[in-house]
Amino acid sequence: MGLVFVRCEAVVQRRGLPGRRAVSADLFRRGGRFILQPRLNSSVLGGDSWLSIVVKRGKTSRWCSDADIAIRSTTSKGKRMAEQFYTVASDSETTGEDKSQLSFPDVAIGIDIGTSKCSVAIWNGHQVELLKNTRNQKGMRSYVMFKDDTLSAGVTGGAAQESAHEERDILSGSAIFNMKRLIGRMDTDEVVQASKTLPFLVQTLGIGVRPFIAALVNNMWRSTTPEEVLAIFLLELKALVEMHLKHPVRNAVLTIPVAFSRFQQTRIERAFAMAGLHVLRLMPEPTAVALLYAQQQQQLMHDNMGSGIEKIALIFNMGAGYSDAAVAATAGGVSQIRALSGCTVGGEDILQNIMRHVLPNFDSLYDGHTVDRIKSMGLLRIATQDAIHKLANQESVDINIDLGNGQKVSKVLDHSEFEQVNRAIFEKCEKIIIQCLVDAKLEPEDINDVILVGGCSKIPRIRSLVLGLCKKEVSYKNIDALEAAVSGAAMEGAIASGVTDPSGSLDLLTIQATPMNLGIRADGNNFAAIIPRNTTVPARRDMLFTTTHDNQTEALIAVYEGEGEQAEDNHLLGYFKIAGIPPAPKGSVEISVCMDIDASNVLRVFAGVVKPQGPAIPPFIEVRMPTLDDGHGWCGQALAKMYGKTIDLAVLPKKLQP
Amino acid sequence: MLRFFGTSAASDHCHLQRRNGSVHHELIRPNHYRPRNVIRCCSTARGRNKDYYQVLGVTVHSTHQEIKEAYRKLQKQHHPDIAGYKGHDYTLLLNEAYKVLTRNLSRHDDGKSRAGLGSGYPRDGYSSWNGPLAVESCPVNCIHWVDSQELPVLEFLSRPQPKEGHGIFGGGWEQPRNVFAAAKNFAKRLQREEQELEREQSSRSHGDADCEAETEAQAGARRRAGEVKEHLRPSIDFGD
Repeated sequence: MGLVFVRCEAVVQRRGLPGRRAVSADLFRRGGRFILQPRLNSSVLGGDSWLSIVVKRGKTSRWCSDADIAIRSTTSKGKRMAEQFYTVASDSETTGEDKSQLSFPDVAIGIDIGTSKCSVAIWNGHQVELLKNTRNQKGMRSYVMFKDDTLSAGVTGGAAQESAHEERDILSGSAIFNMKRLIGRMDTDEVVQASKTLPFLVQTLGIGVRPFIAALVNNMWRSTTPEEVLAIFLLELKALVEMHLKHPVRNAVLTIPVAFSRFQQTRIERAFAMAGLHVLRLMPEPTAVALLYAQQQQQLMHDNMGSGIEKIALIFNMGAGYSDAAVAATAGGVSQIRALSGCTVGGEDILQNIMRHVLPNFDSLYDGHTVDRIKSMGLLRIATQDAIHKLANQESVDINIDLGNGQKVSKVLDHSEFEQVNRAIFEKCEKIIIQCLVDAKLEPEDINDVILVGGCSKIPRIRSLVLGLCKKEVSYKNIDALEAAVSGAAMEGAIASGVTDPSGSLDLLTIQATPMNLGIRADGNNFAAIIPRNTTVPARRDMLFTTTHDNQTEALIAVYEGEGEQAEDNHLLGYFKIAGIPPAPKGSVEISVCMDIDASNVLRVFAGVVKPQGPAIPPFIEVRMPTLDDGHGWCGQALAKMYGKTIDLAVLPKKLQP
Repeated sequence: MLRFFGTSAASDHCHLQRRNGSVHHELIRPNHYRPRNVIRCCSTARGRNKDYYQVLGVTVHSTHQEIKEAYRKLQKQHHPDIAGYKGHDYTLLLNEAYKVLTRNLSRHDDGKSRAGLGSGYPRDGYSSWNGPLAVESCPVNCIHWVDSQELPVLEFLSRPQPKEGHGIFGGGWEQPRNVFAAAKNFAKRLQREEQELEREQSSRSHGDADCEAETEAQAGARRRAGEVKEHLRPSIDFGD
């Protein structure tokens, strides 16, 4: 394809700054569009916006004003892009169709899939807008209803026409929910074990394979997978967004819990791919909140230069399935994540604890999934949920419910009892907050604001616990507890898609950190962390290893993620072998293992022999992790059984390193 | 005699490589045929870096706050979210520099900043290039023969220096147009300043605390320079 190539002069403005300057650029013509590329020596940066372009050719010069220039940087195309280009619509040659495409650049939408509720937000050109479904809800229940041959998700309220019946229908066994807790988990996982009391069928064999999940359709259990359920839900969500935007949507920024393993992340990405969406960024939920906080602080201070007063916020997010904590330092629209921590406790656990408390023979009662039992279990769930919600605003609550089959529950629940029953959960929350503060090397006095988000942040005990740990009287008020994460995701979507905002409200950046240690198995069954947790992303670290046997020609690199000291306590992400190591006494070969995480959170592992050198050394190996697909509980054991310690590695002590 | 190359030309056409026994360099050197990703994997530890002060555009005297601000400002330009994937390697370097510098600073964060001529001038050369020579293939006339004493001055001056700004205009970084003329000038001024300092010192009977602090502050820069000082025979390798 021939490109018309013209040198031109463009007027550029730095975001948020007065003053303009002219830079030279090349104007290409590709198809029906003009592409403006700054010349090498003109320092045009990502944050610059083009104001006008003067094209001089011979004696004539043509001037395009900002109204004619619909510029977008092609950053949204992702990492394949080598250099930054700007697409310019010419004033005369663009057809109407092209214009409509250009006026709707491919901006990633923000999606927050909660364990219980889900929301979606878009950047509408001026601000973040949360979309509502036909029932005027911003937070839509996350579930998929299986009915005869039709599937319907919670986006449109497929379960029932009236929302009053919705909850009861969801709990009839025909709907699958809590996908976020089940996705990417093996049946030995305690979260999966706890999910067996849900109205739909979760069957476990306890051998480290994926659980069997099924919905009740016409009195028959029909099997499905969490990925499939999520994809069906996302399809409906995507349709909702496309109906609103009137153009197709391809990219999305998704918020995920901090405790999500990389394996779970690939599962959720697969669900998105099934729904035809590309995940541009996966954002830990509290970091999305931190971005929103950074924007509010920036607008408060009118500060765009990354300087100014630094504010440190502790964000605690507790939803139905997960709890996360983060410490973020914010200045001038840059939010720097100092520490992250998370665990898998949430409102669902509180609910189950209370259900067990009011009905002591709960487990024996709901051992099998008969229609009667499902029905009474649903009634108990609804009553308990109501009670917990009421308890947020009142001292005590009555639970009176007829479960059928002569079962009746009548109980008065007050705060102290509620706290007693859920003590373990509160302790876990406390633990992650303390860990977060320790990792960030901060004292409670250093925290400027405490931000509480998520459904469970309304529980008085949680509020007092977090505020007490941070020695604060009140929490930060300008953030909506349920909408913050999705708003942050939509903002990140716009930033990562290359949208700039003339008023400077998108002049933001999140500097992410890794939530978990990443490393390999070495020194027997130990875990050698190569990228420790809370390392700033993008990150790249390497470490030297050596052989454990004389004349060892092969070495196994087993990559793990997690907090455990022992490799087995962590999630196995994948493994590969370095073969062709030249024969040498043990400890004399040097093997370098390098890990690289890019801004879209892709992990690559590079490994190879670095000493001795020579033409006989095999080339390095690059592996994108995780490589494991299923049954990762088994792989570690299978490897140990097959090879034992014959191809192990040991950490090369620092003093031997040059 | 030593070879010095104008940095502007060098950075465009030549790719400088350093050999100081670090594993990363050994990784790349004999293996030009290796796939690109391997080289990319080790690129943070290549050539020009390790001078983290230069990466962040701060001096050895900068306070913690100044380093933080510089880091954020640069992140806002180069982070892959903003600059696309090409920002990846540079951001890695920024992260590494920030981590090392803030770690060092937490040990002696005195918050003092000494301004004046040649602040940050290490007085020792950084050059320790030692690799294959390919002068013939250099596409531009960028090689100059200089004395070894001149080398540190030239290197110092060819690094971008902060320019005095007025409000939001005019700030930024500058490099002398003619580095040799600038070096001559600089050497003169430096000599004069040193003489003055000596006179001042001799006028007072004891070296005071100010003097002490200065040497201490310079020590960091010297240490870094010392690491690479063994080989002072520079040469160049013109990429591939």
